[in-house]
Amino acid sequence: MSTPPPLLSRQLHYVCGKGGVGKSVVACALARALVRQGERVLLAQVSAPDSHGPLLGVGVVNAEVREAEPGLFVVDIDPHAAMKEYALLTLKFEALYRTVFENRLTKAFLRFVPSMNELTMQGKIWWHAVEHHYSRIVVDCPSTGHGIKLLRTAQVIADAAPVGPLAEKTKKMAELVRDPTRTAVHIVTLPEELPVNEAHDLVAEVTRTGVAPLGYAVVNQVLGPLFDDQARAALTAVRAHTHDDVALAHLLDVAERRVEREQHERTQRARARDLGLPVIELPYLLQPRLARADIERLASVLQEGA
Amino acid sequence: MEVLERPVDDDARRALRGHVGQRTVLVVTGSGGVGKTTNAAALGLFGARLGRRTLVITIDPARRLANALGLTALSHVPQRIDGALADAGAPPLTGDLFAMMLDIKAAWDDMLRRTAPNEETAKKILENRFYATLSRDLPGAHEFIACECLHHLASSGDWDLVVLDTPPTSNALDFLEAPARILAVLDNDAFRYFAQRKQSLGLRFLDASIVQGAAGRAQSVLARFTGAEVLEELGDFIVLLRDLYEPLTRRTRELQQMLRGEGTRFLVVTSPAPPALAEARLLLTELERRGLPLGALLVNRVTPTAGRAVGLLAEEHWERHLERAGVAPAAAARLAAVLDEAVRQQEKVARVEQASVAELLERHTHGAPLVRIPRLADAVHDAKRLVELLPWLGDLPAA
Repeated sequence: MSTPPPLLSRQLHYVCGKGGVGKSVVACALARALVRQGERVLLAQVSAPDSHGPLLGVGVVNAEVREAEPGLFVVDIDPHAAMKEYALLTLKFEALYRTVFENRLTKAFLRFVPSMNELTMQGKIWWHAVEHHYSRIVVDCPSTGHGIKLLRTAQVIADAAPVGPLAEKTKKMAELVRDPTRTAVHIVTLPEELPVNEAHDLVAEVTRTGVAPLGYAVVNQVLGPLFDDQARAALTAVRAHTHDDVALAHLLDVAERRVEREQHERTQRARARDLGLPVIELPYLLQPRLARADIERLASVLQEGA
Repeated sequence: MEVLERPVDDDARRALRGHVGQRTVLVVTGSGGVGKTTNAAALGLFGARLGRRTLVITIDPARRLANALGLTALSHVPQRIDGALADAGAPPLTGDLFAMMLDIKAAWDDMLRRTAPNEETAKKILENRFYATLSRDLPGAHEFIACECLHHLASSGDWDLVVLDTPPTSNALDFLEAPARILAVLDNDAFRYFAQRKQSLGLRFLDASIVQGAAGRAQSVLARFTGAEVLEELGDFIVLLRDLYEPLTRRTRELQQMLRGEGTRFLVVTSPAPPALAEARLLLTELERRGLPLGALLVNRVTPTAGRAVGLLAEEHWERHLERAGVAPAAAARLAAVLDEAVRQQEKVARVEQASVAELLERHTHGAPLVRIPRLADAVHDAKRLVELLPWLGDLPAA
């Protein structure tokens, strides 16, 4: 068995994780890291409120693919727009499309066809991967459950409808997503108990279903240690002698809180390493809103870690 | 910026105190790991402190509520817990405090006895083997019975205040829709067909000599496969359930009215961590969409600003405080640098949290009170922790 090529040399990168762990930040930083290596990158968000635009400082990201800067293309894959595009391709006429798809009943029906949204989004990603000359595609997945659903769609449809024109395409899609030489699913998490639990669940599910090859575990917002053994010992010693120095007692409270948090973080980082994936840790930048300069900093960490 | 060194009696805490003192039902929601159960228990304690006969219900089979109350276990029967709390140093109560853990099977049995048109019907259903499967395995069965139980207890007249600790699911409000979903199953055409057939004709369900045609043949093949008794019993069960449809529909409507009414408030518990805030945002949106009244947003485990420590670090040669406390000058300088950085970073973390919470508040709470609770020193999961929480929830000693 040949070893799969290094992770960043794969073509298709899915960035998955629970809501709020910083998937968008990681997806943007990863896209920038790849552009720096000279790749031609498509960064896709999937029907999300535009977070990539503000993070990268490249203006509004919408359903039209746009070269935001040399080598970096951005798009928001909207299932309705993607479905319309696909239907138009098949039906050829706008008027016919309207008669069929803008019909109230059809709309209601399409909404309830399971996985239709995911399939059209996945189809669009596949179309970008195959028809266009992007050397890398980074997909910022929806939160956990949906992220996996998106990955599985093609396989589910291919299994359910083994013949016909749709089957041919979905089978190829599923092959691409499953191919360890071309695809990697990166799991983003935080150094906290529940997000790490979720990451373990996610890895277990991806492994169990074999839906796609796993890539990196990215531990976001790592504060890192300030207190070494010596500093901790000194703290304990000082605590015994603060007596009526109220300000100093308060300072020690801050320090103890910090030591406790560092301990917790150490435990959770160790648990993240137990995921069995190569781990990249990103520093906590301590800012309410990240901007382009922060993304560049994180892109450098990703490049070094990879 | 609020320092969060000690609780103050601000508008938000006064509003929360008003809910605890006046509403009949408080539904505590939030994602897992934010301290929802602990806060639900503390609110119950607060209710009893305000002189109310209070019941805290949990649906979560993990023993979180029992642990939070300093008990080893809770049962389906409301259990008086004043004593255990007083032993743990809780301030005196003028009301009563009870807690229970919903036992799904017992709750279903209770509900059937209450709802069935007569004792005989109830007995028949309880003995039917499909009943056990339905009440245990049907999706939404747990949520259905939790709602039913909440409604029953809150309208029983036995309690001034019922605090419900909802299970930590990804969509905690889903359980409110469970009754409608279960009723939809009962109202299903197939159910109706079998029920009417059996009732109107007064036939044995499997009388193949009379039930002719394809349906009859299918049934007799099935009967050979499963045994005639099994199908007979299923038929009976469906007919029995039809008797419950009307009362359950009425009660579901009453429950919906109760949840939207003046007596009920929903409390959303979150932490300032981005994943918890993301879930709180969804919960708030869902509450609004369903027209359910939000009472307050509780942000638990807030990082306090470094407060007085900042003032100390601003002093010239402040490391002398360390030397006075017995640290050698060289070590004091090193420790001072680390402490300085720790304070600086805590200030930043506090600001980041404040900004993310402010954003949530601005967009989603429409002026509902925001109650901030600091990350209390060590997370003791017992009654002492509840007592520590009380002043943060608005239970302040009279000035």
